[in-house]
Amino acid sequence: MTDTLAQGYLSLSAILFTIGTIGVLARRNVLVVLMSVELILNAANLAFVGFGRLRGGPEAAAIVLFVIVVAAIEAAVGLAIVVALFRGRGTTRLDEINLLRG
Amino acid sequence: MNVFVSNDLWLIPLIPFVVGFAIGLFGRYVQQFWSGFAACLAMLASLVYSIKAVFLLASTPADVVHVKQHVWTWMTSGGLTIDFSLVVDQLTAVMILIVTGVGFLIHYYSLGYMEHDHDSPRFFCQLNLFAGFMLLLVMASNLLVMFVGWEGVGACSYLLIGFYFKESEKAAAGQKAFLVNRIGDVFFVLGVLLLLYGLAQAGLAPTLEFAQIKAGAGALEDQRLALSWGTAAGAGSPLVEPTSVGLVTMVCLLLFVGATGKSAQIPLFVWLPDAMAGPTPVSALIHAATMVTAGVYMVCRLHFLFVMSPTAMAVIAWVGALTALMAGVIGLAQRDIKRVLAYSTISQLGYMFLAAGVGAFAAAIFHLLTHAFFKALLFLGAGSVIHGLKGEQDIFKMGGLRTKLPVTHLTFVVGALAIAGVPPLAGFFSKDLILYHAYSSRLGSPGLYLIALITAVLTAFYMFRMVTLVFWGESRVDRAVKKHIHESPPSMTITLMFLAVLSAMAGFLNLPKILKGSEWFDTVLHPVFARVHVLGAPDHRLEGVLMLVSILVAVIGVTMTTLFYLSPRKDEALEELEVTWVYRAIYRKFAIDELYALIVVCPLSAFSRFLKDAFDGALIDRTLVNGPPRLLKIAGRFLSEFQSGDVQRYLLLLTLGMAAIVVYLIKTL
Amino acid sequence: MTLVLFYLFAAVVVAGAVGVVLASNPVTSAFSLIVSLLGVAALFGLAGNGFLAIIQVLIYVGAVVTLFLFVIMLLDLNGPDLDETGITFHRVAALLLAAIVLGSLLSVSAILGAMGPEAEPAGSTALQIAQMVFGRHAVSFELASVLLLVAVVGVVALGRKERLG
Repeated sequence: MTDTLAQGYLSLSAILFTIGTIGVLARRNVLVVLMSVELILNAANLAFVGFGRLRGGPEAAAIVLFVIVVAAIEAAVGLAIVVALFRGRGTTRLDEINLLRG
Repeated sequence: MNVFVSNDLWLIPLIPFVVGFAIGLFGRYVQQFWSGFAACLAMLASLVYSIKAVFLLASTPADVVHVKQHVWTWMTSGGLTIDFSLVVDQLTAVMILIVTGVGFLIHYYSLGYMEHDHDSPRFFCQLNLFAGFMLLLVMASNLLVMFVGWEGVGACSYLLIGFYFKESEKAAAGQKAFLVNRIGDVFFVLGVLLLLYGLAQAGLAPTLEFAQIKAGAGALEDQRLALSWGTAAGAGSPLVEPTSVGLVTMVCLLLFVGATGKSAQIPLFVWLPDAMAGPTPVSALIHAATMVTAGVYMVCRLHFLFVMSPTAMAVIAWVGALTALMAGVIGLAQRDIKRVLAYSTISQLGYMFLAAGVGAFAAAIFHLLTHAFFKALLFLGAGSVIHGLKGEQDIFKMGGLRTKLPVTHLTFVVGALAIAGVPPLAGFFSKDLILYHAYSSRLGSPGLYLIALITAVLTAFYMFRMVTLVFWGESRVDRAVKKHIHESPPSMTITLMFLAVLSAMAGFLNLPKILKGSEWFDTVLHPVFARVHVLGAPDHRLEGVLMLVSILVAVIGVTMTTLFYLSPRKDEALEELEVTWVYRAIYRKFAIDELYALIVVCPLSAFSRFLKDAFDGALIDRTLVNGPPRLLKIAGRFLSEFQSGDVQRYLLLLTLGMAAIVVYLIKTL
Repeated sequence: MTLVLFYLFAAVVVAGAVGVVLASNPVTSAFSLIVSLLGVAALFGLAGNGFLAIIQVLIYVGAVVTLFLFVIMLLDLNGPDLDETGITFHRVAALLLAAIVLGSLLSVSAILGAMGPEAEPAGSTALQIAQMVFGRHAVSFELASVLLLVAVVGVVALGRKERLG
C-alpha cells in the first residue's frame, strides 16, 4: 500500500526544490538568490520528513534540525558577504559582479 | 737547387703592416700630417729593404734559386706542413720593387691629395695595410700565405674603394669589388684544393710550396679527373661515357678564374670601373702597383702548371685578348676621366694575360712593370686635374688646361704616349713584345695578334681623345670653376715628374736585340721562366716587321685622333655619331652590368625575397613562431567566454551536469 | 482530513515560493518567504513533528528572514529591480533545466513513494529528538556548535569596516 501523505511530501519537496532552483538560476538580485537557497533547503527538509514517515523513527527529525542550523549559518555568512560586497561594489546584482571575468 | 737564407725579408711586408695598424690606432690623436708622414716613411723603409733584398739576390751565386726566410711553421696537418715563409726570386724582386716603389710614390702624392681630408689617418692606415698585404702576396713561398695576401688585398680594396662610405653609391662600389673578388677567391681556393688532391693522386707528398710543386709538376701531367657524378654507380653502365679532364687543366682553369676576379678580366671585370669611387691615389694604387697585378703575378708564379695545359693557356690568351678588345672599345665612349683610365687598365691587363697565355711570361711581367709606371702616372695626373678643377671628372667639361696645369699636362702626355705605344717610351717596348709573341709563339695565332693590334689602335685612340679633350683645344670648363684652376702642390707634381721619367725610360730595361739592346729584363727573369719552351725561335725579320706595324699603328692612331678632336667640325661629327646604336651600346658598356644584374643579381634577390617573405616571413615567423601563440590566443579568447565571472552562468552549467547525473541514475534504477 | 490539510498547506508553500521567485521587490520576496516557511512549519506539524514546526518558526521566521529584512533595509534596497523582466537565453535555459529537474525528482519521489512504509507512520516527539541528538549524534551536535562559532567569527570579520591585516 502506498502512503499518500509521504508521497505528497516528496512531490511537494520536488516542486519546492524546482522553484528554488529557478530562483537561484534566473534572479539577478543576490538577496532573492539567497532566499531561493533557503527554499531549496526547506525542500530538502520536507523530503527528510517524508522519508521519516516512510522509515519511521526520529532520525529524520534530527537531521532536519542540523539542516536548519546549517541554513541559519548559511544565511548569516551569506548576508555578511552581501553587505561587504555592497560596500565595495555598490550593487547587489550578480551580473554586475564579475571580477573573475576572463 | 740552392737557397740563400736571409733574416730581413719579413721586414718588407711587416713595416707597412705595423705602421698601418699604428696609424689606424693612434692616427687620430696626432696631427694629420704625421700619419701621412709615417705611412710614407714606412713605404720608404720597405723600399729600402726591398732594394737590399734584391741586391742580396743579385750577389748570390748563379745556382741560388731564391732568397728565403722561414718565419715560422704555420700549421702541420697529416703530411702537409705549411710554413709561413717568404722568398725573393727574380720575379718577386720585380714585384716588390714595383709595389714599394710605385707604392711609395703614391703615398707621397697622397700627402698632397689628402691634405684637406679629415679622415686621412684612416686613409693612410688602409693604404699601408694594402701595400703590406700585396707585399705578402708576392713574397709568399706557398699558396696559402699567398692566399692570405690575396684576401687581405681584397679586404683593403673594399675599405679603400668605399672610403667615402657616407655616399651610398661609393659604399656600394666597395661592396661590389669585394663580392666580385669573393667569387674569384672561391675558385682560387677550389684550385688550391684540387691541386692538393692531384698531388696525392700522383703519389707525391702534399705541399703548397711553389718550389716543391714546381719540382713535382711533371708527375701531375698525366693525372685525369673523372667528371661523372656517382662514379660507383655509373662505372659499369654503358650509357654513361666516362668523361675526364686533365687535372692540371682543371686546376689551372680554377686558378685562372680566381685571377680574373683580382685582375678584372672577363667575366669578373665589372668591379674595376666602379673602383674609381675611392680617392684617386687609391685608384692609382689598385690599378698600377697592387691588386690587379695579383692575378697576372699568380699565373706567372705558377707558370709551370699552366704550360702543362694547352687548353688552359688558350683560354687565358683568348680571355685576355677579348678583354683587352672589349675594354678598349668601351673606353672609346666614356666621358669620365677616371672611367676611361679604368677601362684602359682592364684592356692592358688583358694584354698581360694574352702574353701569359701564349707563354711569354717575361713579357707579361715586363708589361706589368711599364704599365705600373704609366698607369700610376696617368691616374695621378687625372687626380691632379680633378684636384685642380675641384672635383670635375667629365672630360667634355675640360679642355685647354695645357697652360693652366703645365706640369700635369706634360707628364700626362708622356704617360699617354707611353700607353699608346709610341716609341721610345716604355709602353712601346712592352706592348710590342706582347704583340710579337702573340704572333710568333707556338701557342699564339694571327687571330690573337690581330685582336691585340686592333686594341693597340683603340688604346691610342681613347688615350689621345682624352688628352685632346682635357688639355688641348678651347676650354669648356664651367665659368665658376675656371677662376680657381690651379696647379697641384709640389708633393703631387714631383711624383708626376718622377713617374714620367720612369714611364719614358723603363722600356730601355728590355731593349730588343734588333735595336742593339741586350734584352736585360728577359735575361734577369730567365731563371724563373727557364723551363718554358713554348716560345718560337727568335725571328728578327718578323720582329722588325711587326715592330714597324706597331709604330705605324700607334702613330697613326695618335695623329688621327688628335686631328679629329681638334678639328672644328668634331662636334657635328660627334653628334651624328652619338645617335647611332653602336655608340650608345658602347657608352652603356654593352650593358654588361645590367646583364649581370639580370642573370645573377635579380634571380638571387628575387630568391632572397622569396625566402624572406615565404620562408622566413610566412613559415618561420607567422606559422612556427607566431602560429602557436596565435592559436593559443584564439583558443584562449574562445575559452575565456566561459570564464564570464557570472556566477549564475556557472550555476546553470553546474545544474546541467547535476541534472544529467540524476537522469542517468534514474535510468539505471 | 489530514490529506485536505496537506494540500492546503502545500498550496500555501508553493504560493509563497512562487512569490519569492517572482516578486520584483526584495521585501515582497522576504514576506513571501515567510508565508512559504510557515507553510513548511505547518506541514512539519502535520507529519507529527511538532517540535520541528516550532523550531522552524523560531529560527526561520524569527531569525533568518528577519536578518534578510534587516539587510534589505540596511542596504536600502527597498525598491523594484527594473531589469528583472524580459526573456533572455539565460532564463529560458534555466526554466528548461528546472523542468528536467522537476521531472526527474518527481519520478524519483513516485518510485520511492511506491515502495510503501517500512513501519507504522509516526511523528517524533521532542524527547525522541533530544535522545537522538544528544545520544547517537552527540559528536555532530558538538561540530554544529563549532560551526556556529566559526560562522559568528567569520561574520564579525566580514562586517568590519577596515580591512584586516
